[in-house]
Amino acid sequence: MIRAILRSGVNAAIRCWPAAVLTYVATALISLPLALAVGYSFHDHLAASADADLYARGLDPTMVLAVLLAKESAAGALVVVLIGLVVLWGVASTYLTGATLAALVTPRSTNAHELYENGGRVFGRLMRLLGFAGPFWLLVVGLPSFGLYKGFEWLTRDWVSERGVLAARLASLGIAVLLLCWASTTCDLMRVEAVARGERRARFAFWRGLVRGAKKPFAPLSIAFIFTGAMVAVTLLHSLFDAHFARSSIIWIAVGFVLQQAVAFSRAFLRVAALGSAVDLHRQRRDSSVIAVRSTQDSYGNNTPGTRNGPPPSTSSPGLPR
Amino acid sequence: MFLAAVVAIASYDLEARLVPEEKLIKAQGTITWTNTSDRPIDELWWHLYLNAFRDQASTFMVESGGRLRKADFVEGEYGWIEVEKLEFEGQDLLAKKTFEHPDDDNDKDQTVMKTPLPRSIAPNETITVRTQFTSKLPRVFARSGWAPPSFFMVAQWFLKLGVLEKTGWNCHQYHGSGEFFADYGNYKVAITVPREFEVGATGRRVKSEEREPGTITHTYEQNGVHDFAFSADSRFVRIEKKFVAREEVAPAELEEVSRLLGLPPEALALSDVEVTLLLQKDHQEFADRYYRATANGLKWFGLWYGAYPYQTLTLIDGPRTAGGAMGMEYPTLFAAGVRWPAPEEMPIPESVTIHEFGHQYWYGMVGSNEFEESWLDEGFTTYSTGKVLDRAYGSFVYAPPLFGLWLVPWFSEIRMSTPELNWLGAAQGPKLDHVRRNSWQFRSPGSYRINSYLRPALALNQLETDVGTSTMAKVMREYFQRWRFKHPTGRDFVATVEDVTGKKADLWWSQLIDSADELDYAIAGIENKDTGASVTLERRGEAVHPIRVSILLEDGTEKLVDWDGEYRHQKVKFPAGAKIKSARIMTPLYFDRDPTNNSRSAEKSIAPGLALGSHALYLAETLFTLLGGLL
Repeated sequence: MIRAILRSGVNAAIRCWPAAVLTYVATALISLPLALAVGYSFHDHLAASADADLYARGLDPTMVLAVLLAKESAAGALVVVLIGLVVLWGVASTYLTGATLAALVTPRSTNAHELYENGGRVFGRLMRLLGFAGPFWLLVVGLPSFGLYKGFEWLTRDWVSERGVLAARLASLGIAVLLLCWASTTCDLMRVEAVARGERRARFAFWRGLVRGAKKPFAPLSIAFIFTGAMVAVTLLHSLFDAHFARSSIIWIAVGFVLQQAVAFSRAFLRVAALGSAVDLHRQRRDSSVIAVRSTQDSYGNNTPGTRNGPPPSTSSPGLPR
Repeated sequence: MFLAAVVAIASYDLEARLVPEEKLIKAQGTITWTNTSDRPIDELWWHLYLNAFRDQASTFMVESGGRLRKADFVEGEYGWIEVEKLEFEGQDLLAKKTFEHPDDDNDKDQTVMKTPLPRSIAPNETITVRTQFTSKLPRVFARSGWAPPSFFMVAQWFLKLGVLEKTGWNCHQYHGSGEFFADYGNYKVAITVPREFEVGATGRRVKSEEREPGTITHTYEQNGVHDFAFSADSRFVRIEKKFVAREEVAPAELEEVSRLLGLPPEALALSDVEVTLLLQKDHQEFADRYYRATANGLKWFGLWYGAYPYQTLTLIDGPRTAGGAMGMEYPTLFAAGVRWPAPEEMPIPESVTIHEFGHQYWYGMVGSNEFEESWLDEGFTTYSTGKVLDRAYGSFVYAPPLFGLWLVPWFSEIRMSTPELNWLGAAQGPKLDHVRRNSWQFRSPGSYRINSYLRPALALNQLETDVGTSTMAKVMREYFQRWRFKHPTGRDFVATVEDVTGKKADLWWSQLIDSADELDYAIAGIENKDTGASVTLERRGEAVHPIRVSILLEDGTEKLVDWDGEYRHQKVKFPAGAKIKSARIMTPLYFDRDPTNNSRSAEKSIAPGLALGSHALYLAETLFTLLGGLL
């Protein structure tokens, strides 16, 4: 099963490579204002120093703190900029996910034009879905994680064994990660419902995605473990390398930049692959469903039945693509 | 040897019984006090420190909010001391007792007690008071108390005399920030505990006997100390080692310090010390690191300042439930502390061990007033700890923890010396307080920490730079030798500096200790014109310090310029034809607000902007990818 998930995700990401490129470019573009502001602040403060090249080599905590203190008001403004960018990213991410899912449910390759168009077409329903998925995520991840944290503190308050406490801490972290993985992929399944099935009504997309995630929780967990795990692993491995990578000249700074962006692109690719697997999961479930409620043509171009567990799909609009 | 010559002003002979089930200490005994002033005394002032934990209304609880160094008061787990008997010449001193609050208006605070005497005590007269008291230990969050499953740190547990000064009794309340102050004396304490308990205490264990079935009574004695504490735990593993001076100090090290201080090696002789480690079972793997750190403290403090004069030294290592008791010093005994895992690359048991050992000198033997000038013990100890760490170990990795694991592999390239680490801690904190200030009057616990530990340590580093390493070593040694077993003030240290260096230390005192001024010098600009070249120097902070600047010309020649640093700016000019390549402030400025402006190049480099901008881009991408993947 894991191999199948991996294969389907990677194949989907290769087929929909423009979606991976778009995700990467959008992430980079939204990050750019912050990077320019930070880069300029450091340039402004350090460029004239006789130790400028030394400062460029690595993240010297003394230097970073000195610049932060010298640019305290600018640092405050940067936090505001960051919050603004996070909000912008929330909107862009929804658009990107819609565009990506729309591309993934199409059996043929999607060009850039279709990608942009389809992203816009499903944007509204995904934003509405966010109104359900957001609180769901907070309820399933935030609340139990807070409870786990408090419970861990209460449980281990009188424990003497530090190894035991560390094990308990890692165990509670593991449970939180499980919840996080399940909830995040279940949110993806809800989006798949909204896009692949053409379900415009957010509450039904939410409900069907939730039912799918809950009925066989191992599948969404597997998707998260494989692809999010790979993203985390790539990031950690790169950070380990980067921590020892001295940027001793402009050439090496450029090499470091290329490596960072390669990692950023690989994460975008893996994100598309994860969505591809979620779409594939949705397709398999629908194909295996035997009770026909009503026949209609879905986003995959098949005559498919409705489901036994949820309301029928919205009849007001077909799925994607038209 | 010179312990015998220490003037014993307040001595205690006590018998204490630990009742573990009730967290009680039941004690009785005698207190002997000598009036060393030149006037008759009509009253005695006492510290009742444990009453800080009596209720939420005490000054300590109000100021600290029930939290000290990340440890929290546990609701309902109070502590107190009840003095049941206090007699002088057959008369009850408690009949007219009053609780005093000299530092605030908190009439609920019961940490200071005044007892009028039935008659005046003449100058140089010695009196003996009989007492009986019960101390209830709180669950430990602030130095003293108990912790599950069976740990006891019994400190600030007995009624303790204040210090009689020329202006009267110096007897402050127990505060949220700051520590203690007491006169030297001789202590003899018999501690009875259940037999399964292992005990470590101030002084030398002179006798162990079974007075009652199932219990054991250990008697400890120590002259020339100003406090007594003990720790008991049925889970302690006792490891005894001997610090043998002739084995621990290499001839080259002796020679090095001999040259540094200009003293013959014979004058630097150290004594052997019996070191006892009382460790938790699952901390036995740290025994060697604990001992090495203790031995390094004994060696370098001993060589630099003067030999450790006591025969014993005990290290207490508590369980993780007793974090609030760790990192604390008492005469000949200190609580260190470590948490598993503690990577060898990081000085986790080493720095706390050397710091708490260092207090044997700066607090233990040089008995400054921790209430009024906390920098004299904490700052001096932080400075000295840094010297020992840097000398004995070199630089360390300081990696942050994540979920209880240290991120050493990611931070192993960033190695820092202790002054750098202290600068990092001090620079980011509030800058409104002077270093010299009553401990409870700092703006916040954070300001207390910065101005008691970090800024004075940096000020001493600065003084070392200004007077030279060898002279500074002589200053510190002279200060220790001159003021051991006495109560010096900051002014006494300045006088010592001036005596040793032959120069005034007013500027150092007024700018770095008795002020909140910031120091910041910058190379503000380099100009290369056909008509000549120039370097502009600026003083951007309020504090003034002379600086030396190295100016490198294009032809490879270097010019050194000295500037008194008083006026706000200074231009150093060169004739036509000269081209300046770079300029750099050569004087180490440990207090410097911005070390990155201490050098300047004629040519700007785009490297830092590019490198750090690309880091920022990548970090933002990582953040957004994470958010996109989550929701």
